[in-house]
Amino acid sequence: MTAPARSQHAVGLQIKGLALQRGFRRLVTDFDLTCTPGEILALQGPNGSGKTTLLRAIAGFHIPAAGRITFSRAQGVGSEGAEIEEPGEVLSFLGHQDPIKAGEKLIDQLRFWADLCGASRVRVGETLARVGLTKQADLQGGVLSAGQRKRAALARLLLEDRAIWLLDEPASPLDQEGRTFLGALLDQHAKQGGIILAAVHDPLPTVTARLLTLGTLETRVPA
Amino acid sequence: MSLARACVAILTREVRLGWGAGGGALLSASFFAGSVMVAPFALGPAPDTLGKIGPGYLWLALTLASLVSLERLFQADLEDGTLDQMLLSPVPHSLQVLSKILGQWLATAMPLLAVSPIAALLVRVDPAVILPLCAQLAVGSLGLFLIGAIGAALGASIRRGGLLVALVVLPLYAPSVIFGASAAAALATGGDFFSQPFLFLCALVLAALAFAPVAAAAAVRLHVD
Repeated sequence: MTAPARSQHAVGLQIKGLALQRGFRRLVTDFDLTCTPGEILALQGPNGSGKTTLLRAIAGFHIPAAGRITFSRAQGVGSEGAEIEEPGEVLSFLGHQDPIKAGEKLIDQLRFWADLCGASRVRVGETLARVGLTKQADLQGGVLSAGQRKRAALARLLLEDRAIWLLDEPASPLDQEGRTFLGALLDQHAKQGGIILAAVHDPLPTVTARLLTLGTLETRVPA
Repeated sequence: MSLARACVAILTREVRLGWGAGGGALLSASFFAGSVMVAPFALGPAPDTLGKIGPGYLWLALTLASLVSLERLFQADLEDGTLDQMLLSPVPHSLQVLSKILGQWLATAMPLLAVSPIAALLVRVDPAVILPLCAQLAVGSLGLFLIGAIGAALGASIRRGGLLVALVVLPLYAPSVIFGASAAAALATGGDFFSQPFLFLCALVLAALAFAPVAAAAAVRLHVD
C-alpha cells in the first residue's frame, strides 16, 4: 500500500440552500454543507432519504429544485479561489452500478477509462496491482464477482485522481480485507487533501468520518 | 491531444464491444442480407422487374437494417453507469457521442456494406453500377446512423424501446431515403455518380454530422438523473 505520493488536492465544496425533490417528494430542504480539503463525510439515513440523490446532485447528474453547489480551489493553489464550472474537473463518482462491460477484458476497460480521463496508460497496471486485481486483468468483465467489480471501480477512481470522491455504498460488496484496504485508500486520499462523501449504512472502515444524517423529511410538496 | 486520445478510445471501444461476445455488430448486416435474399421470392425473379426496383429496394433494406442496431446504442451505457462516468470526463459530451456513433457505424455498417455488392447482384442491379451504388449506400448509411442516434438517445431509458425509436426516427429518415433512392435510380438509368440527388444526400449527411451529435447528447443527458 505504499503508493507514490500523488499531487496534493486543494478543492473545497460548498452547498447552499439545497433542495432535492423526486417526483412530488421533497427529500432534502435548505441543506447547507461546506467541505474543506481533507475531510471525510459519512452520509447516513434510512433507505429513500435522498443519500444517492444528494450525491448525484453534487455530481451534476440530478438538477436540484433549489440551491447552489459550488466547487472552489483553495487559496494558494494555482488560480486562487477560482470557481470550477464542470464537476468533472474535480470529482469522481462511484455509484452502486459498476460500469463494467461483460464482454471486455478488465485491463482494456481500465485502459479505456485512463484514455478518457487523460491518465497515463502506464499507471493502469500499477493501479490494478494496488486494488489487488492483477490476476484478473485478462478476465472478461462478466466473470468478475461483485467485490471484484467494486475494486475495479475503485481502480478507476485512482486513475482519475480527482479531488472529491462521491461514493455510494462503497464497502457493501467488499470482503473484510477489501474493507480494510478501502479504509486505507480513503485515509490516504484525505491526507492528500481530497474530500470524501460516502453514503453508508455501516460506519466507514478504519477511518473517522464526520457523520451527516439525512432525515426522513417525508414532506409532500403541494402539487 | 488528450481530446483526440479520448475520442479514439471511445470509438475503438465501441468497435471492440460490438465485435465482442454478444455485441451484435452483425445484426444489421444479417438483417440486410436476409431481407435482400427474400426479395426475389416476394417480388418474383423476373430480371426486368427486379432490375427496375433493385436499387430502391437496397435503400429500403439499408434503412430498416440500420434501425435494428439503434436500440442498443446508448441503453447499455445508461444501465451500467458508463454514461455517468462519461459525463464526468473532460471531453465535451457531444464529441463523445459523435465518437460513439462513428464507432457503432464502423462496427455495424461496415459488414453490411461489405455484403452489399453481393446483395445488389441478387436483386439484379446492373453489374456496371454496383460499386458506385454501394459507395452511395455507404455515404447514406453514415447519415442514417447519425440521425438514428437522436432517436436512440431519446428512447435510451425505455425497455424494449425499439418501437418508439423506430417511430421517432423513420420520419427523420425520409429525406435521406428519398435522395438516396433517387440517386440510385439516376445511376441505374445511366446518370452521373455525383447526380443532384446524391449531392443533396451528401449535404444531409454533413448537416447530420454537425447537428445529430449535439441533439443526441442533449437527449441522452435527459435520462441521467
